[in-house]
Amino acid sequence: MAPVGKVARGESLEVAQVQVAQRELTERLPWLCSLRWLAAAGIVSLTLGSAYLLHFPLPVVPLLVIGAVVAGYNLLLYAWIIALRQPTGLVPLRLGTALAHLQIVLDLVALTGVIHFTGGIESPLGGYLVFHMVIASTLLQPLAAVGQALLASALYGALIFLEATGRLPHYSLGFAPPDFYRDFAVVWPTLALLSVLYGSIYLATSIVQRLRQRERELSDLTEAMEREKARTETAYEQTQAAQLMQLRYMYRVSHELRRPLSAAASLLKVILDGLVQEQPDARTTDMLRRAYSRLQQGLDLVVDLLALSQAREAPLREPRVWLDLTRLLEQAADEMTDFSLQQGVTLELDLERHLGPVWAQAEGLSTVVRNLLANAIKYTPPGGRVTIRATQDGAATHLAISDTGIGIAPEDLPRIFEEFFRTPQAREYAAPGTGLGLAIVKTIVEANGGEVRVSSRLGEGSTFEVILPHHYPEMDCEGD
Amino acid sequence: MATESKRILVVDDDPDIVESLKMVLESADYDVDTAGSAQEAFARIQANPPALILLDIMMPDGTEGFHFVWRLRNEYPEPACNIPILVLTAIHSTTQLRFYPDQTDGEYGPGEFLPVQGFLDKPVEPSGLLRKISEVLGPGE
Repeated sequence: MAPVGKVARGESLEVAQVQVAQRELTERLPWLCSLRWLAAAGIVSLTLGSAYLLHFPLPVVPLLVIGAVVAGYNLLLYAWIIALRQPTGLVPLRLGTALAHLQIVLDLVALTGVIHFTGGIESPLGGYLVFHMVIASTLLQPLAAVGQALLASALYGALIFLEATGRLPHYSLGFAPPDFYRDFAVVWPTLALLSVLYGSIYLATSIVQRLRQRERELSDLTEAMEREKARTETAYEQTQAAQLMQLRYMYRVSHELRRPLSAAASLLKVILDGLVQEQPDARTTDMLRRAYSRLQQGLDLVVDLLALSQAREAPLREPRVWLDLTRLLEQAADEMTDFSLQQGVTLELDLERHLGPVWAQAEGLSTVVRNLLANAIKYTPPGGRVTIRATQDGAATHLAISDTGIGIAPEDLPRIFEEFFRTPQAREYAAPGTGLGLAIVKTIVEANGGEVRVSSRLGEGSTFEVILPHHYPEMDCEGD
Repeated sequence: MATESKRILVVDDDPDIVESLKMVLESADYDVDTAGSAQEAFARIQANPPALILLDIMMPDGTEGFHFVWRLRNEYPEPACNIPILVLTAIHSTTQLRFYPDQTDGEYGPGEFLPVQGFLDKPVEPSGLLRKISEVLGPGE
């Protein structure tokens, strides 16, 4: 895995921030140009309308000239923005920012001109200064925006001051008293109002900046979370893959272990069953029988250990499928027939007529049934009975395996699903046994969303019940 | 006793298992043919179709036995495709045996029962094996 250093991450963060700023500039500079076309058209049309339709005493020519100038520099600015675009489509940060400044300065000067020719302090267009300041605050850094606000205030302040002191001519629209623009009782409060304005602008800008900062932090956080999620997912997949590999290895090892044991046991069995010509004497036969029994124990242990580790990995290993329960139970009973005959135990199947399919791991459920059956047969004295019952109700499939065997003492019941635990009665009754069978059963049943219950009376028999709640596949089942 | 012995093909890669099975089967007057791999087994089936196959499902690569069953049942003409099969295996109670494995190039689905006549644990109990065989083959003529 490539290490992600702090420096590299910091650098990439800065690059990302620059890109965000560039994107904002690239979007807003042309937007400002489109607004300016409206402004130029507005200046020309309002001038002509006010002068010729409403008969306001307006200096038409200078206003039209300003309109034309605005349109002219807008055209140049637009061309410049297009020319500035990099192959990525983004405007370079530094030049783009300079261009934003230039636009706002030009607009402020033009607007001051329009205000001058439409009545100075009387002009209804003074409010448009605020509009420009807001635009500046969204495009520029706080300090630059405040600079623009100061410039706007300076231009406006200078205009009304120069008009008030007679250094610039005043164009009255006729709405205000004749000497209104010279009245310092009006001029000072107006100038004071300006300071409030750029204070507000400063606040607005810093709020915008803080919002931007939050937005960046949020996006960084989201990115970090995505990275973390991806890392966790990869780790989980790796763990799963490792577990599966381990399981396959276990298969292989168990198989390899069982092969020689099984071959040796098969050969011994041929001798013990008298299928060879020269029969050994009684003592040798007894030793061979013991050797066979020990081999069998070894085989059982290998199988149970493998089964247990498999059961633990079951959710990874075997998918659940719709299973024909009747067939599965009949097959298990069929396989156990030999064993039950050997033990002198009657094996009975008592199945509900039309058992619906169950949603479970095929091999898993098969192992559960065979383990429970093998246990029941093993611990039931000759002449006894083992019964397999299966019923279904609205909520679940119930699978019960009952025997008339040695039973389990109440104090041992809580421990019987523990690994390697065997009750004293079980040890006494049947010597070989790994104590893993029931642990395997419980693990598999739980992996299939079910539970195992046991009820037993010492000396009378036991019933193991497997309850598998009905599964209603919603997403994982098409049609039926 | 059958006047003409029925032939049983033992497919297993372990010579000791093969020998012990051979002795058990011969003690019951069956003719025994052996094969150490699926490929060899198909050759034997074509040359001289047996009455029954005893198959070790865990032959060299873990799934060879499954493919053997599938190929015999689906790709071979009668009577070969109908030869009864009894599966023997060393770790029968823990491997995916009764059902086709789920990663099989779409040949068969998960949860589908393996089309064989029965399963037997290794080491095989001689009396149980002989009983199962006579159940599958029916009484000798």
